[in-house]
Amino acid sequence: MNELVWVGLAGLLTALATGLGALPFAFVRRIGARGIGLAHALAAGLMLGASFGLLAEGSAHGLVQTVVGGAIGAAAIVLSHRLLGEHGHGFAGLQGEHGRRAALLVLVMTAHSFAEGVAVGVAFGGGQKLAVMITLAIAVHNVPEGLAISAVMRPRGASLAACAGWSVVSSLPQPVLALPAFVAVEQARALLPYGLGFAGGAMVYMVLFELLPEAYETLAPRRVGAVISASLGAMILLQHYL
Amino acid sequence: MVGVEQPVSVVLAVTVLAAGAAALAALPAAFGRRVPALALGLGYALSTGLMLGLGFLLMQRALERTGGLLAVAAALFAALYTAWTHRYTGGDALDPLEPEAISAIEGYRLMIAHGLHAASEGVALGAAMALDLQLGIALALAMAVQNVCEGLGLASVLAARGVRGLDVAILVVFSDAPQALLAVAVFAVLPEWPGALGGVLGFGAGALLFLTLTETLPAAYRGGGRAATAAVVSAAAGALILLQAVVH
Ligand SMILES: [Zn+2]
Ligand SMILES: [Zn+2]
Repeated sequence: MNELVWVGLAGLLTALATGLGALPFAFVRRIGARGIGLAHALAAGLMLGASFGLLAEGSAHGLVQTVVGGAIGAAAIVLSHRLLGEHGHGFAGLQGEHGRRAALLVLVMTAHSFAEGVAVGVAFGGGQKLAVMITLAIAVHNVPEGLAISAVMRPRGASLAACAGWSVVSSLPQPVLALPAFVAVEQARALLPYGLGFAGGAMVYMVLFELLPEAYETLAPRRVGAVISASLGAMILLQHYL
Repeated sequence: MVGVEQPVSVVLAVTVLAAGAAALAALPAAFGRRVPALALGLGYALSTGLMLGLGFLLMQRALERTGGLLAVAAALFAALYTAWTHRYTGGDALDPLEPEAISAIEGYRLMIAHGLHAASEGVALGAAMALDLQLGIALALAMAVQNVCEGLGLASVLAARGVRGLDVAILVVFSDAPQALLAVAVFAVLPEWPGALGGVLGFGAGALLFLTLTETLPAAYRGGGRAATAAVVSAAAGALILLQAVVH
């Protein structure tokens, strides 16, 4: 019971961290394309670090189950992109093309958060070390993702509060999904490697499909490589010495 | 298993075969065919997935065996070393998907970059073999596949510069030779110096990650598009990680 509260708090913390991404816009009206590229690369590196932890822990519980879970996770993201297609009109006081673009981004980011919620939940099933590492990784990487959302909304006239609010909303699936994911792997331990694999596979796929192409659009490959190597290395060290 | 009494010669044979497989990449050029950018891109995606899967495996083993600090420091050193070599070879600035746009001097630089890329892969492969010979031999197979994929890019640049048939094959295999040499050297030396294993594994993992991020992955996105690239990379990485379960 007590642990459930921790899982919920961890999910809430990661969601709230997304709102911090709006903070820079209290000082500046817009952030350059390279800044956004950098934010995507940083988010990608932290997500890869979290995936490394999830997949390594999963393969310790069952290699084949982890890979099967990973394939299901990646397939779930492919499916969610299919289903999302292009929807949404007038959004957060923004009309027409502007509103549609912002709505689509928040929608994509919300779908993106589902797997991260599962990650937080199953990480708690995998032990305290993994739980702290994954919660931290996802909370920190949510900041640049909130920045990306705000960067689309703010120059189009959304208020600072709307930017922060919608950023948090995009991450609400994290607390919502973390709890059932945790309960599932606690009740049926055999599910743990599948769950860890699912979260890891889904996140790797999202990095490859969403974040990295955005990063390469505005940053030279060597910069993307440097940001990802450094953030991934930091995550691995954090997990190893926690 | 076979040849355990002569493990170094087994490693030599397997890695030479893996490097030699790159000769297959010369086939389209030999028949005067131009490999479409989509196929090249998907080849780079396949290569990326195999390299990332191997990198994951090496880093995982490195953390199990040694202090995390040594492994991560070695990985970051590998990234710095690779970035430094890119300054001289042009590395990520050259696009093998547009072979006609590459000048003769850039072609040479691309070959050197390819050779250095293969050398780092050789270190990774040798370390994997020292760790677990059976698994290492299976990994050499994956390495052969990615040598063909990456060889296609180099071969199309050479063909666009007017190099013909057999010469293309020889040059592509030649630039993969450092892979076999370093794999054998690392495999032979590591048992004498077991304390270095974690560092060498970390170096291999870091080099593989940085090479994919700066060379093969951008080429994969350009040629294959983001959806196909994401699918092929994750499937290939998953398959490579599964190799462990198949081998043992
Ligand atoms: Zn994310
Ligand atoms: Zn390669």
